Amino acid sequence: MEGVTLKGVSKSYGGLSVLQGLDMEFEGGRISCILGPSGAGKTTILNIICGMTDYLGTVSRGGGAVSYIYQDERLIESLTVYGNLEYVLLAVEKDGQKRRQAIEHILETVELSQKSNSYPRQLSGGMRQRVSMARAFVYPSALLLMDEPFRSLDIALKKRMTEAFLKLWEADRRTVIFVTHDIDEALLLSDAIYVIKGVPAKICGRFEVSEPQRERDLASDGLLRLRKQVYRALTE
Amino acid sequence: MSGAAKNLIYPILGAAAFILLWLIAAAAIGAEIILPAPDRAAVALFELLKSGAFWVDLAGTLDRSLKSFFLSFLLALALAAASALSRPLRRFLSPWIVILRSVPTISVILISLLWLKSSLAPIFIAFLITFPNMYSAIYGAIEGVDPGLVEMSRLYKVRRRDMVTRLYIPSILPAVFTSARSNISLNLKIIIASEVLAQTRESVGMAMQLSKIYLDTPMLMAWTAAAIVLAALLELAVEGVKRAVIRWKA
Repeated sequence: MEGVTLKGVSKSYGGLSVLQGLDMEFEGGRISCILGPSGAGKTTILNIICGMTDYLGTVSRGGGAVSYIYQDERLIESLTVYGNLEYVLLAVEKDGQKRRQAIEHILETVELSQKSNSYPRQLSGGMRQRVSMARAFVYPSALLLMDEPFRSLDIALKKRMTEAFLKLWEADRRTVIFVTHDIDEALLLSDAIYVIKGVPAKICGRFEVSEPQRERDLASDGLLRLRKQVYRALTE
Repeated sequence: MSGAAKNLIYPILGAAAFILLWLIAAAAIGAEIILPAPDRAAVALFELLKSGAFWVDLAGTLDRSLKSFFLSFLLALALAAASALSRPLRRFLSPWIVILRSVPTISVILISLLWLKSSLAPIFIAFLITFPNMYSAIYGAIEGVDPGLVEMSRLYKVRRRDMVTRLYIPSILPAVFTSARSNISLNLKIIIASEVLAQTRESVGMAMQLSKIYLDTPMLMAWTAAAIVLAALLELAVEGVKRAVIRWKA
């Protein structure tokens, strides 16, 4: 799986510089996190990586396809759950039978098979987010970007969503870069965490989490220690 | 009271209040030539329905109204779509739309009557008035397609034809139908007014004009009622198609 490297990346909105000469490296096949407060330019970094906004500097990635789990799901209300997934596959999987199999399999994994023919407005917030996740994973990308995918979900739902995400990710271990302002979310999911803050954003720390995701316990000594370090980097 | 009964009771009360007011006004005026009572208009309408000429006149007006409406609608749809794709075309069309929207209706009518024969003028006049409304509504709907969904489609490299058929068309349909519904009845009103002035043969407008000349006010009211029913049926037809097509909002 391809990694992503940012070298000297800068970005301004009007006269305001939000990123200035940023260097970052995200290893292939791992889950990396950009942790920082709101307004620190986290979403801008994701948009730069996927080429959705202009910038100065260099971004190197293999050039493979990218999928994206947005904060606001971005589902097409006139298409069913199945239709929303099929929408992104039409150009890449011409064989209708294979397309159907891939969609049915992913919907089963995220426990939404029963909702295949429902329209987005008939789903709860958590279900909509799972459809967005299923769409990102059913699309054959080398890189997955996620913008605060578990924001505004209650703890129980967040746990189920995290499990669903890991189940999907473990199947092909594509490169994942996600942004969040939630330390616990970063500690539970990431292999590497970049902490950024300030305007323009500066990297205040880079941390590694070595334990496999499924064995992590936020109450363990190791993660509690790491949490303190990350918290310090974020607040000092 | 059931939901359906609640939905019906207020429109029925509204219609009853209107007829009551009409009845009181007719009694107060006491001159049928100025304002006939509703029952006199109802009798005239009943007589009208039995005559063959009524259906010929109604069919003539309906034919012109539908021709004009579909001409406006299809051209508005095609040009709005083309304008969304081409900024130069949009800029080229913008003064045309501004002029068509702001030119006084009576000027359009009088000029068209000079240029065209009486059967064609109403079609052209209604087209000139409803086309800019529908163009603006459809263009606005295309521009209003959620930019987040467009960005998502580009990221996933969705083909342009799939974007058009599965994102753009369904997104603009509600606004297209809303515009079609209001413009189909406006179109009919303009057609009838133009028929009066153009003295179009076999038309509701001409029949109304004759009722006025003969001072047959109950008949004029009966024709008015027929035009109202026709407009309501046209709006209902558009609403029916809308409900059949837009299933995701049901």
